Amino acid sequence: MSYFEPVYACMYVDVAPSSADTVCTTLNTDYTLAVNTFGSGGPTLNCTLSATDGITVGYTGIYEINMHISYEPSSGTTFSLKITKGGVTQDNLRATGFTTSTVYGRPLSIRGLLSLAAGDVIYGKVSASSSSETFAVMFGTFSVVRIA
Amino acid sequence: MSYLPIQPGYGSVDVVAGTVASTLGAVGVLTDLTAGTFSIISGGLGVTFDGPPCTSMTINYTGIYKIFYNISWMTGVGSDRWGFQMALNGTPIVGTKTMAYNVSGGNANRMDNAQCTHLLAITAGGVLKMQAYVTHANAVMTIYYGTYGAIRIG
Repeated sequence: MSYFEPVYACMYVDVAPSSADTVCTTLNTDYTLAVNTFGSGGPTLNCTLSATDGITVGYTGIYEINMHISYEPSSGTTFSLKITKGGVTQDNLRATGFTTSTVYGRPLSIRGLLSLAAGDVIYGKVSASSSSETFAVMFGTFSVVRIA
Repeated sequence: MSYLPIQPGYGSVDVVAGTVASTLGAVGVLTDLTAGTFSIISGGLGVTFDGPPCTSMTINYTGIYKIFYNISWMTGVGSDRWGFQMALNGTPIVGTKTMAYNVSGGNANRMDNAQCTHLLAITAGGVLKMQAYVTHANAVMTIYYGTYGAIRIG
């Protein structure tokens, strides 16, 4: 038997492949993920999920952050994920995926630790790195779990 | 701040390497990945397996679980979307789906790695499976190695 302070939150994205709801088309512009539905069973405690995108944590601590997104380009070369806290990009929580016009569809992941204070709001974001690129987010998940 | 007693529950298995889905003949068919005979880690009474070898694990305690997988694969020929997902009691778990795509023209031998970590409320008796899926018939994908599992966090 162990004792554990359960603090966690999770959201997911599930977009039809043909959907244009979450595409990146502008140079270095960050797109906040639009969350279609929250996780089944509402696995959230001491965290607050916004109606559309962010997670607000209720307790100060160290959190494990996970973000997994599968994407498909219509055109373009580089697609990125990142986590922001208080509007500031966390450089230790970024990932870049590369694709070409002949190999479509890739999974891309971020996993890391982040120190968060009560009330901090974090976001999972996607972006394209050059102009005139179009990437569609297919599906994915974004979660936080307090570990200390 | 309160501390809740949590009965540990966790389990993970290795995924058997080999070709899967090569016999699929219809769009949308799911293939349960077979778990390995070895490298099974179980949290005592927390999680039990249907093997070995096995294709599912049973969650024995109601709670919130961090479920995960990490699988490396190579796509074969075809014009197909490939991917992986986890299923609970036979129903795909939204948020656990990842994708590999092999565009038309026979671009075979594309290798990649798919990872997913997701949080989910699971009731005791829930059965987790790791699945591969395809959106086009007559395709082949080779699994090299991987793992999937669940850890109770609340």
